[in-house]
Amino acid sequence: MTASSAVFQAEQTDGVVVLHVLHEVGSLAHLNIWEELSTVLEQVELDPPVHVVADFANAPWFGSAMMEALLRIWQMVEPQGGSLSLCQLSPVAREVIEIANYQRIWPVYDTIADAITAINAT
Amino acid sequence: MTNILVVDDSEADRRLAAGILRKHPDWTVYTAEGGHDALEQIEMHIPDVVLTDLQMPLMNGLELVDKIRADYPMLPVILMTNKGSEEIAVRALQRGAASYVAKRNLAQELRQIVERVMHLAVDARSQTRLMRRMARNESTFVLDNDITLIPAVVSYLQGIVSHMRSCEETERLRIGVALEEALLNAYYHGNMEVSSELRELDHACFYDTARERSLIEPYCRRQITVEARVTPQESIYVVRDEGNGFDPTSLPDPTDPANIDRASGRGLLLMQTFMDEVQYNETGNQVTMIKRRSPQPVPVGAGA
Repeated sequence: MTASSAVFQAEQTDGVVVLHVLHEVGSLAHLNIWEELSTVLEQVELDPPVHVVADFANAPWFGSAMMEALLRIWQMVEPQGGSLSLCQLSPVAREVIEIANYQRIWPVYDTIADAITAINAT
Repeated sequence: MTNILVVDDSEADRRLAAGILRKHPDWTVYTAEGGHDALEQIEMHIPDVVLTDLQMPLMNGLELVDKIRADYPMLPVILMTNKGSEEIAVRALQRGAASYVAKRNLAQELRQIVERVMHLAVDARSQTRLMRRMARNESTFVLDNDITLIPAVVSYLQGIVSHMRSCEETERLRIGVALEEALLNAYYHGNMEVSSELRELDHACFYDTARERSLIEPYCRRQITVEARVTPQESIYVVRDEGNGFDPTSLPDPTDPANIDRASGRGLLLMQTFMDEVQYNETGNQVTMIKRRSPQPVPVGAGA
């Protein structure tokens, strides 16, 4: 099952929702990121617990607007036993996450495969 | 003399493309059988243009474009497309390929396309050389009530600092993050006067309120002024809104674990972390951010 908007694409792989940023597009802050994301996530059939892996291979940087959207995903899936993981972060994107202290609740992996393996191991 | 590298796993297509290009008296043509071979040749001798097939085993044209863009950003890549490779060609163009030519039209179009791309590449290199000689740049933008202009301003100012200071990609991105946070604060909290508390209580309501206010007085008339003064040593950015101002000390500490699920305060924290100095005026509607050039490594023997 794959769903997409202009900027995001979600696909279900091994029971995990992998959320890709499709194009290299600055920080996306000019969009209502949460609206874009929820449009995509609504199209994916989600049965809790939902594990989401956000793939930032095509987003070399982002700021608080993206973090806010990620926070909302996490607040949506975590109470039902789900999780949010991040992968393929650029050094600056990783720095942004660490400055905001979110690495405490969202594990960061190098690759999508690493993230899915870790989720399936728990 | 112009050097062109032709990359194609098909010997027949490789010979055809190379043969067409060799007819030009000033062009020297080299060939590679695939992406890895091409990268090895580029490492030994950087050509002026790369012409590559898209569908190749081991490393396709898209992957080759990505690697060339990362390591040789000024080296133009032209794609050779077949019927059926249109989608991957579009992706390669989005990722920075300079142009494309259909294989069935090589004889008619290839030389003209290479000449055009070469001309543009020379212009781009001259522009880059010129920008590196810029000693000072001052820009002032007065943004109307249009949030979609924020990424354009950020991108422009990132470009200035990147060219003038030849700064690393990491520094360029950090400046972008800080500038964008300052501009978003100026828009939402300054001009639209939408509070951080509302965002935490009702995320949708926060953005709906901003959208509604952007259409009515007095909010719709408010502007954001951005002033940038960039020299090779430092860049100073001043972002001013026309709202009532705010008290930066009133924000929750986002590094406190108790505030981990609160959205407020992270923008300011990013600004403070990625800039060397961040100061608000007394009213709280103007922020000045200073970024100094990171110390450059001293070449061995420079002090002797």
